[in-house]
Amino acid sequence: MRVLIVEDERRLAENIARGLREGPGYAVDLTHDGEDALQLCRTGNYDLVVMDLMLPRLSGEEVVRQMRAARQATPVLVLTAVSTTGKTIDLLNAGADDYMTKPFDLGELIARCRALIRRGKGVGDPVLVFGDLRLHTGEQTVQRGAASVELSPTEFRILEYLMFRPRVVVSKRELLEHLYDFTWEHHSNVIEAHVSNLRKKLRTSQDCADLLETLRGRGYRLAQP
Amino acid sequence: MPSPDAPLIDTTVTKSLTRQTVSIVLLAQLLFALVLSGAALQHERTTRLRALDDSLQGRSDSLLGAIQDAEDPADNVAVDPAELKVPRRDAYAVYKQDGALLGTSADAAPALIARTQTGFHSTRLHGHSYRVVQRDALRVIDRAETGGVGLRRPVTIVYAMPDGEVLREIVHAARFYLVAIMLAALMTGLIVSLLLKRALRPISDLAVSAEQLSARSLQFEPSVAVMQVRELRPLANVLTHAIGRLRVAFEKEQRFVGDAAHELKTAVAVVRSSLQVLMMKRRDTAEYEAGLERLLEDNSRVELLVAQMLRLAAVEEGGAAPSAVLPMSACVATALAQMQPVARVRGVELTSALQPDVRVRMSAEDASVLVTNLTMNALQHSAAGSRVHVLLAEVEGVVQLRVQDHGCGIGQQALPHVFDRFFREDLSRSRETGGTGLGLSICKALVETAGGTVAIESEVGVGTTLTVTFSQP
Repeated sequence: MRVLIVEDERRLAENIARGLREGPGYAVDLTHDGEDALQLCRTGNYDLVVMDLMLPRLSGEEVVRQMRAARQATPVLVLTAVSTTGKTIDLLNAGADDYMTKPFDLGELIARCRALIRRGKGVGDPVLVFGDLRLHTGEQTVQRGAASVELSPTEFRILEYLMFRPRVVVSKRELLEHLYDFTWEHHSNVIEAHVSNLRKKLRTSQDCADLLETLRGRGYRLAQP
Repeated sequence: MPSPDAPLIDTTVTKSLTRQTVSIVLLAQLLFALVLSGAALQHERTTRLRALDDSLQGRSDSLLGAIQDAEDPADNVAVDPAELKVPRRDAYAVYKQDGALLGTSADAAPALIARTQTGFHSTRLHGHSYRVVQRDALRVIDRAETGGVGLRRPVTIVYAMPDGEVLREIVHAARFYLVAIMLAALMTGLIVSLLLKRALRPISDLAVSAEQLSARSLQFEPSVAVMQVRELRPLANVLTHAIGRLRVAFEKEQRFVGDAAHELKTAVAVVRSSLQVLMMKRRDTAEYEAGLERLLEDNSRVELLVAQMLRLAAVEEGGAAPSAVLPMSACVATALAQMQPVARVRGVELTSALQPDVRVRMSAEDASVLVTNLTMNALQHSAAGSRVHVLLAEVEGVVQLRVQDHGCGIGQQALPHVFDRFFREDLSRSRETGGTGLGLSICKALVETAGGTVAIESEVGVGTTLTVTFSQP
């Protein structure tokens, strides 16, 4: 998952980014003003936007408003220091999906981020299920039948992304855009290597079916054989 | 101790403007009516009495005419009642010069017709009031027999007639006046109170406008009706302006509280998130050390913010300028010496031209904070390799402290707000430089407490000059 953090207090932005990278292992981009945030959102590659309310150039509320006017449905979590009911109502009515007041608990922020991403994908259950494959988004564990599968963070993120969109073909480019922030060099062969490892790890026994289908030149998808 | 809800002034309604005004009007009207009717009654009485006297004169003339020659040897005169028709209650008597009674009306009361003094007078008898005339007259008889000369027979006539009618008429008139006055007063009272109520309605309007005032909405807009009343307009204007000023001050305070909360919460959020990131997983010693370093930095920001807020509050509350005179030149030199390391780190050249022995009425600590804040501000906005110049001079009793940088400058739109608390022209850049947004506010408060002024000139891309002026040494 790829998250955009818009926060002018750089230290706070860095801490949130670190929390999201080290915790659920999201790819995180940072920006410090509202105009830039709007520009970045237009690319449409974010699964979630975490945004401060008081931003230079363009306020968080205005960014949300313009995002929604441009038919961007990316979930938005707003961070605010002011917690009056009127302000929260305005925020949510402007199109924000959730808000947290500063100072906040980082653990709660991460949990809310997970929930918002889930909802953004149209999924309610934090445990993603595909056939006999189960992925716990919170605990970050994967099980195939009764056997648990040990995955690297990147493999986990690839599988999580695919399980959010079962039976849908996901291109390498899409995977790159959603799993890496823009500080990374994008190489599709990195993805190929990770997917290959993932495929091996998911075959916990010889008689296990291969759930990961590769469509040459198009991408990957989770499919029942 | 009285309860806080108890009004300081006894506000029981005891006075009503309407009632007072109506009373005044009625009282004035009553006085006026009394004087007027008194005069009218007096006039009426005089007129009627004169008419009565005229009629009395006429009747006594008739009486005189009725005095006839008695046809006796002494050529006396006598009154012939047959010649005279007098009203039943009239009484008369005719006397000879020696006092002998020549004749009276029938049943004339002696008291009525007794001789007293010549002329008209009033008298009372048996509860009736009479008007009496006594006159000396001359009756000439036997004019034909004496060759036209005639015999002169002087007589005294007393004629009395009741004037009860006149008095009654006067009383009648008085009663009429009284009723008329009462009616008029009643009408006036009603009309005046109605008109007053209407005229005073703008006061209630004013009260309604004032009632809508609260700490949340300091909006005061007197209605058009109020503003049209000459007597109310000054009051309404004063209220509008006073409340306007109050609103501005209140909004400023609210903004400050809001901004302060935002800044503090954000600063605390940074500390907390740094802690939580550090605790997210087991780390090695180097990571923990780096994390703690970060925490210390984050905490310093909270400390700075709190310290600056408290200082600003203290300065703004402070008030009176210190009486001691401070050797400003030495103080500025010391502060600048302390800033040199910062300037070196940033690669900015910090120079100064300080006139010696310049004195300012300010405490040493305040002066140090002022110079440090202004210089730090200039250094933070200066690029490496540029220069910050501090100048202190006194010209004809006016002390000027000038801090000049060649930094990025401030936009015209932002310039009027640079002294506002927590103001940042560009939030992200200022946060990067570590400012709290309170430095210049503190400087302004310090200078104003000392009786000076602060001015700022700036041009984007050229630089900024801050000038502090103390007109009194």
